[in-house]
Amino acid sequence: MFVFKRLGSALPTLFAVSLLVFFFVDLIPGDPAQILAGPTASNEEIESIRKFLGLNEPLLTRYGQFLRGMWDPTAATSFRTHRPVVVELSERLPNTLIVAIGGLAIGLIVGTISGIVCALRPGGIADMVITLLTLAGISMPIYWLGLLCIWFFAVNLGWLPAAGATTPAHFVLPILVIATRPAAMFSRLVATSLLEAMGKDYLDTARAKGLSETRVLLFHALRNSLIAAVSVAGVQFGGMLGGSVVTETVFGIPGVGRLLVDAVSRADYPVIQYAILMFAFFFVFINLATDLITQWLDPRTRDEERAT
Amino acid sequence: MNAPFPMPQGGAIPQDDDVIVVDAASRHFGGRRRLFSAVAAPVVRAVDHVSFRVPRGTCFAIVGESGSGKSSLARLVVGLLRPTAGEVTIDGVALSTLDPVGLRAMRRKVQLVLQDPRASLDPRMTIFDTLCEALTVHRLHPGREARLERVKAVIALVGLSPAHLGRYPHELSGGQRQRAAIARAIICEPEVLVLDEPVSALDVSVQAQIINLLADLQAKLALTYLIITHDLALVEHMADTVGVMYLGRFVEQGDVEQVCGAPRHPYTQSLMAIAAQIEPLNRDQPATVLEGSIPSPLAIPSGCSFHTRCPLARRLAAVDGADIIQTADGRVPRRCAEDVPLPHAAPGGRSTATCHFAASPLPVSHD
Amino acid sequence: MSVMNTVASSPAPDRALDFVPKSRWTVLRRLVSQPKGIVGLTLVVLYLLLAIFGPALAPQDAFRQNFAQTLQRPSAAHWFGTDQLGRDVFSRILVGARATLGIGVGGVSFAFLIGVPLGVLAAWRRGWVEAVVMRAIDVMLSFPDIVFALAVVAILGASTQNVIIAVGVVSIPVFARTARAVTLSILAEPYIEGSISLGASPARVILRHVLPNISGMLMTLSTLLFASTLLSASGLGFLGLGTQPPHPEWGTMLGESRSYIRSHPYLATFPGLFLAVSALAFNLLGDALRTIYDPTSRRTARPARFLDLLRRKRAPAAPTAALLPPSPGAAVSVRGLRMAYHSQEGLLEVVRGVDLDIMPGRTLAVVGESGSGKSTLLRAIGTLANPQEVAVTAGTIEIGGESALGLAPEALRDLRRRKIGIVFQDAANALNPVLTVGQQLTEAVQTGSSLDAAAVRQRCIDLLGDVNISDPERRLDMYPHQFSGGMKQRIVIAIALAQDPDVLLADEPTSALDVTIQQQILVLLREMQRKRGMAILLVTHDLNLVARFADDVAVMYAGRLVESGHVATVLARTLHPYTQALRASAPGGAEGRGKRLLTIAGEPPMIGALPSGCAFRPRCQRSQNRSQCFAEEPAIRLVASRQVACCFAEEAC
Repeated sequence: MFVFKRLGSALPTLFAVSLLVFFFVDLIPGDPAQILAGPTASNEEIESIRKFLGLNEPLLTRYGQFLRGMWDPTAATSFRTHRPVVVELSERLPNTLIVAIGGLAIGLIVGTISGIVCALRPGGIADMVITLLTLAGISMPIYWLGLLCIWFFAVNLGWLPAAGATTPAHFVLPILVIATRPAAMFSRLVATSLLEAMGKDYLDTARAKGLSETRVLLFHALRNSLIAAVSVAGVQFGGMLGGSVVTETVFGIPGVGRLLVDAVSRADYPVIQYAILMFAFFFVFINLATDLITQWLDPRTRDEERAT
Repeated sequence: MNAPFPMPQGGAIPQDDDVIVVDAASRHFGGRRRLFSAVAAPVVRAVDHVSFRVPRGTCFAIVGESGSGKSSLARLVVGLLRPTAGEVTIDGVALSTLDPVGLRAMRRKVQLVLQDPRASLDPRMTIFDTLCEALTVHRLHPGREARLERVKAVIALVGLSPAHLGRYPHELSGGQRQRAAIARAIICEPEVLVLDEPVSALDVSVQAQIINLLADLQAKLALTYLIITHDLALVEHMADTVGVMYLGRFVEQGDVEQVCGAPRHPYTQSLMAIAAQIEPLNRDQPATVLEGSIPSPLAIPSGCSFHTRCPLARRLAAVDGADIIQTADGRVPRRCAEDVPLPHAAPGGRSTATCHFAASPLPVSHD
Repeated sequence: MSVMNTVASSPAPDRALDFVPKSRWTVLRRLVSQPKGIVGLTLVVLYLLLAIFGPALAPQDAFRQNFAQTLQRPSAAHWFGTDQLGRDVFSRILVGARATLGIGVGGVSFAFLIGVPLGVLAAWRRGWVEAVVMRAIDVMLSFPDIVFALAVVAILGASTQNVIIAVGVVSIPVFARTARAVTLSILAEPYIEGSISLGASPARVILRHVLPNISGMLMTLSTLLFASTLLSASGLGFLGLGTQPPHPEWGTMLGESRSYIRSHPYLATFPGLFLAVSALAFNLLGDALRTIYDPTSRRTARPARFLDLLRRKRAPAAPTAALLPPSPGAAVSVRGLRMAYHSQEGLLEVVRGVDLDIMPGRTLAVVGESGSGKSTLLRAIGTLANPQEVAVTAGTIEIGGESALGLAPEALRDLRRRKIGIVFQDAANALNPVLTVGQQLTEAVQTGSSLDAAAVRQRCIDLLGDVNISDPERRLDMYPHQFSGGMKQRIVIAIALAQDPDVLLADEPTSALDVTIQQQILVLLREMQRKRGMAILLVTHDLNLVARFADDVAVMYAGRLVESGHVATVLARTLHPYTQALRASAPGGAEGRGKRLLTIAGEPPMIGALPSGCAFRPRCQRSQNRSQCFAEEPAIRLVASRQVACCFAEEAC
């Protein structure tokens, strides 16, 4: 029931997102066809590009055409390769997802564990070291970290391949590099929310029951603090998809991010539009999923929703 | 219905010296559709058809539990909330006739003192700045010298020294903060102070100081008080008249001696029974315990809203021959569950109780 | 970490928490007192100087190409080497600082100037304005930030100025959201209501009260966002979509170095290092600011640790010779208990020599004001005092004949389980919000018992029935927030009673409840006590409650019990001037309406700042400045069948 309600509330967002991406071409200052065709193009050329873009059609027809491009290979083709945009995107999507999901999973695990370690002994040596590492992780430009890793692991040590996406080994470095940021974020988040939970009376209630300190922390405190972590995990996953733009360039992985960068530098508008639309739709659905998980984890929000 | 009605629910008769006249005021929340929301929010009847008047220089107390609507009622009087029905008149001026600017000017006459002095003073302003703000807003005592003069006079009035003026709220103790909050309230010479639980956040040994201070100020400045509290002992000490609030309505109102000394509504009776148990000698008597808790204002019970907890209704239902129905909360007389009770004046007319059986009360018993 | 430690160990956390800095100089002082703050601030200042003076300091022309000296290693002539066009990398980094940091400053300012007014407006106007703003923010947040920035660059074209707009637009929703959230929380503060009721205009409320109070949070956010903006802006540069060559910008320089990473790794080292350290600097500064402005970010609570339990075992718990032996048969017996908070100034004594006994089946009420040490005492008896905050420095605690001090974790758990039940003031806080009532009760019943699942469930149902919760089977599957305050307190009591404890510790169990509910809970507690014969320790500030409920009373002032005995004896005629004054100053007594109340001068003393001699002396009406009151802390003596600590107790007889 709630799932449908939440889905319903996501629809207006999706609609607005699609409109925004649709009008993207119109936002380009000046006549997009003129810009696309270049300064030396003849009027006929510009007109044919206008036709190609459908700029002469009524707005509604154009929007319908735009939406159809999401699944219909004939509706939208790349300026550059003249292949259907859908095909271009779906070929590259698996690479992007492998890196994003892998990075998020490793980041989650490392971050949660190190966050717990920090919270268990605040002010201890482990806490200090981890706090410094998380700060470094958040401040590190991943493209620089990627370059350093390539130089060290691929060039110097020769353990792993430097670029490409042909074997599983190719994905190790990108996943590890991209995992740093979520790992750092989670570590801080779990540590702060765990420490916050530790001030609560219900932990003393649990202790007075005669429970062991481990059970008090892991069962009572951590469960509460993970609620906050989950919602951040959603945002982070979106961030990782966005981050793929950079990582894929660094590691030469043929993914959607790389495609988008290439399309931007070559003004391949159909590809830009649909790639952005795809990222945004992913993001909306991830937010939806995290909301549902938070809802499931936290009984209080469940009832609030029911009440309103 | 030929009994005298000095304070009928339907409309207060204003008299010349009444500073506050609340006439059938209601405040309902919700009920409006929100943008992007399919269903209307449920209506909360925070204040429902409440009338009372407070003569100049007296103290009116609103007593109730949390969720009774007493804070909303206070904010109606201050003008922070607008009534959805009815009228609030301060010093002869109906608040509904005022525009926002006029309302702000009117606020000079009615000042609010809140429960927690720690939270009611801006942490980033010194006491002097806080006090000056009131003067600036109402353009009183213009000029540096005059302003300082006034601030010093007021600060002495509440028992602080000029040394406190430069301090920030967190540098003062709880009692001093509440004195500063009172100083801010009286600095622009209001007619009315609305005191929202003025001492309950303070240490016990400090409470008496503040209560005495309030009494002194009332005498010196001819202030009219509206005090909101759950503490019946404080009511008996400070107030002249009192309204006992339950789920947005007054179940009993009138003179303090009458209401507290000889309560006629079963709710007031149980509150007084608890308050009376302060001597150790009484403790072996079984206490009257009111069952259940106050229902949600979202789902106010039908008929008499107190019938779900009313001990009198239970006792009456136990008497054979009465018209009894079974509810989710036990057997009660049909009238209690179905008919809305009307206020009934006590003999002598010094209080009214809104109970079906106020006219023919059963003897109060504690078993 | 030092600031966190001091916050954690300060004796009155609530007083420390609401401290808000007076002025910028105070902020600066608090900033540099943190290692993070001083390092961050220093680096930020250095970077800003670099951005301002960098181009002037560059030793060589950053744009001059020299094909004779391409891709050279760092040397005395070229500190950071040369790039693929033979330009001096060091000079390019100095010159590029202005563009790199300028993009950050520009982007953050752009986002701040649009986002903050939007957020404040949404919070102030509510209604449809808020709905529209929030929906727009939702839509903007549906795009991963760097993708959104890419889209902006795709529309406007790649240039330094467009990158500023791109990263700025991306940060608008973050500013708007945060500004709305903090404004809402400030608007909910009573002082805003106070100001409005004073007659202040909306503009005045926003300018004088809201903005100054949210400025700290916004400053923190700007600093943190500056770091991430810097990184995403340089990311665009790295992708070749930012500052266009030949103008140096650190991200662009990194992007150019990518092709040479195999052969000339140092080319990527220096721009990356400068970039990473600048982000680090702003993150450090932002973190330090956050500890000042965001109270929730502080680590106030600290867990009990195994190490500390060991340490406590070694703590001097040895009774001094003067202590009386514990009473045989008492459920709780405390002798000579002294406790102290750790603070910057050393140990602050909060409990200063307490002796008390509670016999099975009786109720002892400890009455005191804030800071009297009553709650600390209760926690110590409950073995729940946090050893990192407060230490037992002397004395003994025995529960059911077993010492409660210096136990190994295993024995401590066993003691808690079998002998101690605790009820807190705020029932909502005492129940875990994400577990069902059934799960929490089951845990209490099951720990250390050998019952099977069905028996455990039956026991849980019985317990709920015992505390008069109707329909217990259904209630087991409900969550705490689905119960009213009174019901929650009943559930907490059921949990406390799960293993038939010897003593029930109740810390202001009813003061958060309404009068009528209060009465229900008290009757319930008394009934449970009668059935089970357990001892109850009730901590309260309410003398009326003591009269109604307790058998024995102990009045606590500044860490000591000043008067204790049977309720009937003590309250019938109080002997200590403090107890007397407490009784006399309560309204509703014999003083009559409108009469002045007797007051106690002054306010309760602060922990660690006690007057010499008798702690109550400055507020005492009986003392009359007699020298005895200055000379010594009065001993506790037996006067008129109760214990009293006043040199002149007999004067009241």
